Amino acid sequence: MIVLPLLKGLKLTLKRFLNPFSIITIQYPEKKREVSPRWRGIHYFAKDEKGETKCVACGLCQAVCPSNVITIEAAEEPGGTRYPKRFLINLTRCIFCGFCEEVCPKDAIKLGRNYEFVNYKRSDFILNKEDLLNYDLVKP
Amino acid sequence: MTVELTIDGKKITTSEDKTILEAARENGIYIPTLCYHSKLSPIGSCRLCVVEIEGVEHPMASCTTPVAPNIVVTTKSEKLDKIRRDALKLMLVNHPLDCPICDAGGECDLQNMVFQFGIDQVEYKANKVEREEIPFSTPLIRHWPNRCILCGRCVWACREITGNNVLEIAEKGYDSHIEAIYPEKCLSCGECLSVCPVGALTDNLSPIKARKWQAKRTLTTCNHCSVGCQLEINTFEDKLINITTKESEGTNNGSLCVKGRFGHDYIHSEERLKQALIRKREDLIPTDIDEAISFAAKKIGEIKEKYGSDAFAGVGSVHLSNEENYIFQRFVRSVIGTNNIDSLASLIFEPLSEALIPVLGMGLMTNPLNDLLLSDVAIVIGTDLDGNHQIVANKLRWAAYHNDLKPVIVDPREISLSKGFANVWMRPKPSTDTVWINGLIREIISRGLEDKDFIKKHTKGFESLKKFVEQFTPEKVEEITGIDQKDLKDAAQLFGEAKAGAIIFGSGIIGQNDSVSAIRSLGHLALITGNLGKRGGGLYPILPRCNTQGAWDMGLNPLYFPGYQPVTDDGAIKRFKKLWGLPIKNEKGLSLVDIFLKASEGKIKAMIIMGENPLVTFPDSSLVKKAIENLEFLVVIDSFLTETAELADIVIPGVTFAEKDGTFTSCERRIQRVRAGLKPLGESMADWEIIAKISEMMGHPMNFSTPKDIFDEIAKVTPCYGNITYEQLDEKGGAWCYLGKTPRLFEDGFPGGKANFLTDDIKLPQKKENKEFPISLTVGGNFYNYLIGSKTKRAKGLALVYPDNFVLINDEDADKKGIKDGDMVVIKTENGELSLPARVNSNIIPGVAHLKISFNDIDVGKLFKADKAIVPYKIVNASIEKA
Repeated sequence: MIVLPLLKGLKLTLKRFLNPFSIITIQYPEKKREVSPRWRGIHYFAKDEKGETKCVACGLCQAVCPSNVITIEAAEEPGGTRYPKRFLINLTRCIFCGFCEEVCPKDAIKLGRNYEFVNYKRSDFILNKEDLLNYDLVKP
Repeated sequence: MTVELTIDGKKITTSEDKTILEAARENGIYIPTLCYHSKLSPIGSCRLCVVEIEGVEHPMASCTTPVAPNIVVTTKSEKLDKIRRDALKLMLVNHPLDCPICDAGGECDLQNMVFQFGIDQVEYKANKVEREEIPFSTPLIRHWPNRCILCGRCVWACREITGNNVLEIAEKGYDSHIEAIYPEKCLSCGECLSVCPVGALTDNLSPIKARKWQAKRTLTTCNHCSVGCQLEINTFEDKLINITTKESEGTNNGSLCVKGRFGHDYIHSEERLKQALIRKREDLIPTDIDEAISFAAKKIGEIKEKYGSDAFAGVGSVHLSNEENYIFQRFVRSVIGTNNIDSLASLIFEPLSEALIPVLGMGLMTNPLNDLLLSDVAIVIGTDLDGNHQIVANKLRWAAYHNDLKPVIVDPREISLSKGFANVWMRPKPSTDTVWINGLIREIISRGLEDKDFIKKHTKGFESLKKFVEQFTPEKVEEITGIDQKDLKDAAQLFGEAKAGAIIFGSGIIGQNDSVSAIRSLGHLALITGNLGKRGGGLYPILPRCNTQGAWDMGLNPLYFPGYQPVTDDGAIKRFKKLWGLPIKNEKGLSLVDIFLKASEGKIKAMIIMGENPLVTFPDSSLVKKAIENLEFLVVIDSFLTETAELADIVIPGVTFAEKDGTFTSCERRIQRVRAGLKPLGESMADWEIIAKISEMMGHPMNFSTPKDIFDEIAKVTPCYGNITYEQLDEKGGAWCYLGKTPRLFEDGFPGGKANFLTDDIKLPQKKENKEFPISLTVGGNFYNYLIGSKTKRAKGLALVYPDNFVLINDEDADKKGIKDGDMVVIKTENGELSLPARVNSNIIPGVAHLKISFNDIDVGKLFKADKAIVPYKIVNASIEKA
């Protein structure tokens, strides 16, 4: 009575074990998983034609952010346009909800597809404007 | 008259001079508005406030429609909603949707309305208007013509509040736009900026911007002039971004002048002291603040031991808080043990007190400034209100606009109030004020316009006054002062007939020769017309700096403890000795002038100067220089390395008003809170902390941990500040000192029963030809050197709108000397000489010249001589020659 269910289970195990097409483990980090198109990874700044950020420092992302991780210091240029003099995102507290991307009127801040972001220090998880424009770092 | 009407089914009773909008708002009925502003008269341009009235075919704008008996008004209906939505949509046709980069984003009235009405698209199409960017009237404000919705608020504000009509809606129809048509009249006060409902006018001073939800807004008191305007400093990440106001707070009702709104960037100046400086050999070397404080304490102890207490002197400041001045005088009086303490406030209050205390019992502003709104006639003497105290000028304009106030301006110079605004403009020769004031008194009495009941009930000695003024016939007044007889008679008729007449006077009277006689005569003038203890009447001495009143009240003078308790009074000495725990001298100390005189003779060995720059602000700079050179030891506490600080042995960095807590007392005797919005820069600390630390190092800890503790002690020992607590100041937005039952003095009669007419001491100007120095040179200030005027301007915003210094000369005088507009001239007085450019026109009467004291690199102080207690710091005889 005890043996029969055990054998039944073993049958399934062996079937999976021996069938080479049922292997689903990815050999990370040699191989990487393809993420969904809706994946929300590390943030980056979209660039304008000059290679500068498209951000105009309106402050909406800061206002909408539920975990309060964005700091912006806005500055006005003599011509009247604005740019973020300082832009900080604290990734250690970010919940990657994507509200900032959604609210941005200039499509400047985006959440990329990068999910690998490792550092030795907490302070390195605070991205500034230059980091967000450095695509080698944020790997959108 | 009251009127009954129905709004949205609610029966409402209101007065007949109200509009429907005002009546609805009073009763909590909401009507959306965009162009309406409670400070301005209705504009009626936005059409959002439309309401339906039964029996009227078309909807009416409620902001411009007065109430009428028994009308039935509907404020909400489908039809009205459509009109309002359409009005908004038509505005949006041409309004750029650049909210992300607009300053107003987050506090934009249009944004709020569009959001409220849920408009998410505009179906109307029209040719896009691209308005050209034309220069605005001031560089401190940026104009974004495309964002403008042509509501007209800025135009109305410029007309009604500042009275200048700088802005106008130019062109017609589709091309209409806001244009500065008289840019030269602009005062840069930013009233237009503050009323703009959208971001069409923005602050152009700080390039750093912050949204409403990002910035911290701290309500505080302005640190420029003595009016004591309430303003909010908007700080973000420990930077002051800009200044906003709240309409409900303070005497300024949301208005500010250029200094208050734009004169703040010195706070982040590169020149601010971040570290203490100590003199080693010849140079000032940066050092640790604690080391500097302990060195100062040690050195003060040594000098005290060697030369005694009276070898010390302390100079306090008229722009530091009450708490700081209190703790400073406590330190000097108890720890050092001398009464040699004074401040620049004494230059103003010495003559005021000497003139008015024997007559009225008090030498202060008698009424709150808002009383001016109720006045019928205001005499303004010797002060350029628009240049220095614009908020007071705004009040006069409001009263003239709404209450038919008739201004009488007395100034030899043409000022913005004198032309077009004044009913009578008298231009007396300098230092002849006593004569025309008494002439005015004679004229009023001879016309029988004096207030006989008041004189009988409240005064003594009227007969002697009547006899005394007999000699000042209009003919004689004209001969001595140069005032036209007709003007004098007109002024007498106006002031004599006024139900409530105000007398506003400034440094032009207080700082002239024989100022005591002139001020006392003004007291007589107010008395004979019964304008004291009355709404709308009163004497209004306008004080220069933010805490001049407070410094005087806090006992920053050699004769009195805080609250005018004489230093020779045994009872007072006993009380303060018990409180402070140290022996106190019971003899009078040296006044400010005497301090510098004695120091220049080498009798004062050490000095502490807190928050003051006497080398520039004291009338006799050569005396100060000599005095400081003869000192053995000088400590200066200041937030900048001022001219005086450069000569000090130790400079300890203080903070600006935005970095500290405390209280200021305004010239209308209102105590108001100063609140910190920023952290102190570098190692600097509030001046009271520095003094407390020095005292502690000398072995006498004061045990104050916050300014509140100090204020509690002030309230305990100062009779005129009694019964006021720190919490009260926070709740009510200020408390009045010297209170009876109301903020008005003398409402319950005069101290000592009756006021006196005293004519014995009135001196008349001596007429003598001064061949060598024929020109009377008057000086005035627009803003304060300690904030702006050095060679490298600290307040860069103000530096943009104020031109460099010049001397104003009458064209006749200039012709005689061959001086042309723009020439360099040399001004010589008995005490020194200066050279600077001249401006020649007829804005000043012959024989008089005028120049500003506000520029550090032009040392006006050396033209003056201070050798007596009451210094004529506004006038000196000079000669002007072409350089």
